[in-house]
Amino acid sequence: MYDTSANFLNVHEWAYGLTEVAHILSLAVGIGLIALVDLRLLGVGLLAASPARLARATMLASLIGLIIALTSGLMILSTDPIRYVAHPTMRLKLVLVVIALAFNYTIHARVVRGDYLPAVGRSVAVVSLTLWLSIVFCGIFYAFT
Amino acid sequence: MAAMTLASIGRFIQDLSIFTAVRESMYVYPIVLSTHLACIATFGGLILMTDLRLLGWSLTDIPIDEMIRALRPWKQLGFLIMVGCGALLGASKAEDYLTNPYFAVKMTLLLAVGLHGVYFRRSVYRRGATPLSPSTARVAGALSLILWIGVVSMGRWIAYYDRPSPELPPQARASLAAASRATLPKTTWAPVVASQIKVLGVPIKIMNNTATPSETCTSRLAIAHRAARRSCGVASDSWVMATAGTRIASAASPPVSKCQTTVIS
Repeated sequence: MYDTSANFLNVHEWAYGLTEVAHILSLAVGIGLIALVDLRLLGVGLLAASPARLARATMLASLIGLIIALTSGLMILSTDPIRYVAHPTMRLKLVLVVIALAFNYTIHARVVRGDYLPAVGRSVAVVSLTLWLSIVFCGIFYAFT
Repeated sequence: MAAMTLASIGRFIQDLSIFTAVRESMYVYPIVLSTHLACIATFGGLILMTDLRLLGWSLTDIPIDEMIRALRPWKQLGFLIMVGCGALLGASKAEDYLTNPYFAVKMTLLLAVGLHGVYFRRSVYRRGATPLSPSTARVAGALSLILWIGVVSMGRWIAYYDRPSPELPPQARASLAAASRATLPKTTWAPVVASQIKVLGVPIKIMNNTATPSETCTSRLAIAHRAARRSCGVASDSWVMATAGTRIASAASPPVSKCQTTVIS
């Protein structure tokens, strides 16, 4: 049986705190850079660069951000996995994370690089922003519901 | 008359009906908090991109002033929503925030962000400004990045401050019977409970005898929840509410408000 009281993050409060800080900072990098591309798809923001150019420029940093966010998130989850996984809001968040990641690296990536109608780009941007922001909301609401 | 302390000023602010309403509402508080975080998540990316450009690490073919001009209105909008939500959150728990050293550090860092903007306005941030040298832009970008990372980190760390625990009534230590009769202080906080759990090792089944929700609900903070969760044998969905008792002080009175404690040892 997995004993959560032996988990490093449960033993050291500073480690738990640092993991939370890393989670927030990295999600700001990951989601923020995707949002920059989404704003461009919506026709606002950094118009000097094409969506494809912006996506290329932010690709590596946002990938690193998402990887750290995912890792730190799973670390936090490991402090009490049964409670987290049993919670409906957290379940929704986990499902949304899988959908958002899949969407980002398939449809989103394709539309950003391809030659599609602006309406398609706008729709994709709205879906992308909605997905990522819902994840943020679920993360907070989990602690309050 | 009570001395004017940061705590009493905070108490005054958070007792204003609008902030009490925010604190006690089931949904408004988490919605405001989520919006605050969503702003960090989205507009943080715009700040990061600007800083990376200033550092000369990304999109170097786009002029700095063009980039700053294009992103400015969005950053301003994000900043406005972020600060608006943050002020609402802070004011609704003003007593905890004003006495929290990490909150003070966060505000100082925010002030430094503003000062950095003023200082580099002519050379970097002003419309049409051409940086004196790439190194000036680099310094501005690096400073902005470091300061913002500090602001976000300190924001999270606010939840990790344990307020000093108030003195226990001497009679509460004497016996179980005395403990169950002990009157708990009117104002108690979740961090108090958290620190007690840390000291005693076991969470205590206890409740606050204050009847008004505004006094019992202030304590629904994440840190208390975490502290309770870390201790063994606590029901996974339990909440720690306000108390200033000891391990033996398990009050047996019936619940008095919707915010009643459910800590199980």
